[in-house]
Amino acid sequence: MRVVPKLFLKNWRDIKALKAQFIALIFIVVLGTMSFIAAISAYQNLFSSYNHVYERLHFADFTAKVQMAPSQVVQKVRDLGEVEVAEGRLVMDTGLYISEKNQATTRLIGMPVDRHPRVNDVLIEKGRYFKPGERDVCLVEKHFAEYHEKKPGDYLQPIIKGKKRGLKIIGVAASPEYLIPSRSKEDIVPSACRFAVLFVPQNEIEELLGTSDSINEVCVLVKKGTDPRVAIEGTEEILEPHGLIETLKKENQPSNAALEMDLEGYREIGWMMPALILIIASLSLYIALSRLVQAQRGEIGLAKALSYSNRQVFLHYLIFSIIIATIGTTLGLILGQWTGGEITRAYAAELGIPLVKTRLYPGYMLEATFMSFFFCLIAAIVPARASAKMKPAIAMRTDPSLGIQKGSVSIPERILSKLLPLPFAVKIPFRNIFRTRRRSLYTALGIIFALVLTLATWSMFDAMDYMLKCQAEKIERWDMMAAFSQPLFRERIKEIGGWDGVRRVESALILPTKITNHGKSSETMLIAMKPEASFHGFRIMQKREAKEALEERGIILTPFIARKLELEVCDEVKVETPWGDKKFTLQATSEEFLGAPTFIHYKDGLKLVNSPTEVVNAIYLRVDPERAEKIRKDLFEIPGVSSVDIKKNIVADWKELMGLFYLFMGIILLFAFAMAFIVVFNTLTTNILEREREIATMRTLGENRRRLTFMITLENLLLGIMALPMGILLGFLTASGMMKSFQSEMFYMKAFIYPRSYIIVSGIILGIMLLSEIPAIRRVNRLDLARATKVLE
Amino acid sequence: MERSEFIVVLGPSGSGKTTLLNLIGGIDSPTEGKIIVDGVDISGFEEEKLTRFRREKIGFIFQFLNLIPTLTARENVEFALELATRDGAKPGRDARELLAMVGLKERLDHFPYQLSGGEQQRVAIARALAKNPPLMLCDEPTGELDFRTGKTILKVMRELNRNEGKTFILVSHNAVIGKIAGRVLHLHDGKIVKEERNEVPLDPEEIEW
Repeated sequence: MRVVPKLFLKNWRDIKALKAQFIALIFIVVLGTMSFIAAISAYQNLFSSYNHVYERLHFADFTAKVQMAPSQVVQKVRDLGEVEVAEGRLVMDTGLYISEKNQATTRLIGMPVDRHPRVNDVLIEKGRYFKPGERDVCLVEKHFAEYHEKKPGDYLQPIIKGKKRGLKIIGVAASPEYLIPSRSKEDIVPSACRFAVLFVPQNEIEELLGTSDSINEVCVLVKKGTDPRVAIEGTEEILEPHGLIETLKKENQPSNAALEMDLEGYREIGWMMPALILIIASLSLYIALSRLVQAQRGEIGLAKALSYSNRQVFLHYLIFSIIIATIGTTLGLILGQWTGGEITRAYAAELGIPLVKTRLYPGYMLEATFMSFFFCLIAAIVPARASAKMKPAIAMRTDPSLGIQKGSVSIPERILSKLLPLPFAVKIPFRNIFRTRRRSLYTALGIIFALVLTLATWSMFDAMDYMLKCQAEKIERWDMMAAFSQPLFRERIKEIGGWDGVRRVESALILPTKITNHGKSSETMLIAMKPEASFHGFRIMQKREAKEALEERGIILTPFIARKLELEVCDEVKVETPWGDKKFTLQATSEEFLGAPTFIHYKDGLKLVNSPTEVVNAIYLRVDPERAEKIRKDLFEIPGVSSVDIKKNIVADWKELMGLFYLFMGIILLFAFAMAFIVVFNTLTTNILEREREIATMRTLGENRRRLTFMITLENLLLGIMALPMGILLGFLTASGMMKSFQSEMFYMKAFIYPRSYIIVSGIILGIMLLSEIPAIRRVNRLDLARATKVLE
Repeated sequence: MERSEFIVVLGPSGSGKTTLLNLIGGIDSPTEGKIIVDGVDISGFEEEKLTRFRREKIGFIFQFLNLIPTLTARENVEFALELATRDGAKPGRDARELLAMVGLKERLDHFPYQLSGGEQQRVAIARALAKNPPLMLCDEPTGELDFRTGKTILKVMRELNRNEGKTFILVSHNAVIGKIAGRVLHLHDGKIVKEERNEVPLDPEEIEW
């Protein structure tokens, strides 16, 4: 019983002697556990925060939109067996006057005044809810209020039929429908600056629209345990006669869909990062422990000669990994929990999630603990078994030849030396790489993993940048776009074309649509445009021009939708709109990055809405930049305008929206860099410890420090350069996989890495490798030659 | 100590034999006093100067052989030759000749792990000679070798001393080895306690231990 504490004492002294390496190994386990807990708990926290908001504010399971229906239909929906509760409301989009130079798009949503709505309720953050009989008042959604610093008592002026109407703000509210203030699922770039949601008394909006007892939306919560599809079918049947436009399920609701997409990213990162980091930890630990066992073979022999059992020796070396796993996991769990909470709070604050829930997740903590112990123990088992298997007599022999490793001339060196004579400063690093092949391989693997993580993360920046540039410069070829809720005729377009600063006006008919093929369907926006129009740049996947594809009865879809509906070019597809259905032939597919617009010939659009005259509901303008604000103001004054967007502002909003995303990507990059540093630091430290005697011999022979530093650096760089091609290839493949997982109907990310990024990333990784050799070089420079030349490894 | 002398330093463990050798060889520094080698006080030398001193003046032969395991016998010697020629010096012999001198002309391209202990020590001697240093410092060169191999190594050293005029300081705890030296220094507790001169040093073949 007395021998065990002595072995523990030896454990402790060994750790003290190799403290830098142990700290590095603990650090890497901390990183692995921490990244797992941080990402997963942030994911879970955010997920439960959203759900908490949804539950508390009765977020609708689906919302059906109609052109206009009497409010009595809501009762019919309520009577459906699967429906828990349903609310009808009027919703309209229009302009909002903020100042002479600033106007926004606003959505007016009708609310009951005598009570809170039973579906899609709001959380009053400032001020109060409506009182019965109140007029000219509104609640403003919090994102817009915060951005424009609007508070109760201030006034907002929606532009109704070209005229401003003053509404007094009585409260600032959060809504489950606008956790991310997206206007529609096509509005991929939500903006608190350009889009305001105003909740107004239902009777007031009726008055604005000139209707009474009417609704154009029904929001429904289904009974728990029932199939929402049945409730949807029933609701659609009731609303069909009133011009059903679309039914938006909860999962497709713009704000919710955007949140889910974000969260999915966390979950993926939450698994991928720690897995990579812990594999690296495992390899690094294996390298360090193998070396320790080799260096201590004399002590192992002695311990066995003194009657320590194989099991005790085995456990002695296993304990190192248990200590590393225990400290690393404990710190990782604490830091991960803290980081997860901070990420949740930062994210929730950035997006304005009103109710935030953070808590401990014992299940995931257990998983993280299991994972890090698993990787640490796996790494230690081989060297620990090797220690237990040693024969004491052989282990204790001080025959120097036992310490001599095999030397060999590698094939690359043979080839290279045939081309040019290699000086020893090059030859020795080359041989050293192939001397401990397994260690070199693991180190290269560490560098490859660091490259994969770095490149995959970096590719997100590049892909976003590329996508934004393509979308803004090549696809959306307009400066300003205005949408209308009522038809716009040729005369008005001509008039707009004559405005000061307007260089070109093009128009289109945009219709909500459902595209169906053999029971599979997709809801999207149908843009009917003239083939010669230039406001949209196509990226046709087939070898043909967009003009040819936009022939009569021809349709262009995004490749994603075509795949989803299992459509090939020349296949027929059914296009359903609230005004009528028609069959079209898929003529081409065109890559779109944001949204999933579908294109048909303008004439076909007119046929779909049964219009004998030329009408449009969207215009695209090219304008002089200095006149843009004035033109926007004038456009908002046109009766029936529902939105006006300046492309420059959308791009700016997109960049701002990406700020948080870039921050997280930046954190991942730091993790990758730390990983590269530790891997190389650990290997080099092991290498130098192991080669102390020969390095000291070289110095004793008269080799100077500069050349030794050069040799270490060259060995390090050669290893890095060998790992680069594989790391870059795997990095690109991982990036492609990641992009694919981010793709959705509304969002297309193409794996794209700028050539300069390969150079930058490789340069950074090589730079980190050089940094991580500094401790090893300092050790070489401080070697006690007298001692080191007598040390037996 | 005179040029071309063959000195054996004897003493029990901890008497300071290796420390003395390390101080002369410039791989250790004295806390007090001076180390004068070839008329120059090296005790105040900076690291760069010491490196140069070792490169030009000293040939080390270690107890644990200390060959570079990734280099062949020839390359181990060439490594030292490259160091010597870096400052423009022209070594007298190439690696092949040096290894032939120590009886290893057939083992030129073998790696250390392919050589016996005695062969490795001979490579170490050839390497030390490559720089053509005037002073050879040998720390227990036979300590890890069997009796027969040890004697062969001592013979090589003695011949180099006689034929090449190299000065040898050999440290050992084996008193018998003292018989092959011209002068024997006995060390105890860091001090030279006795000095003996052999008028007729024995041939290494003649000694037994």
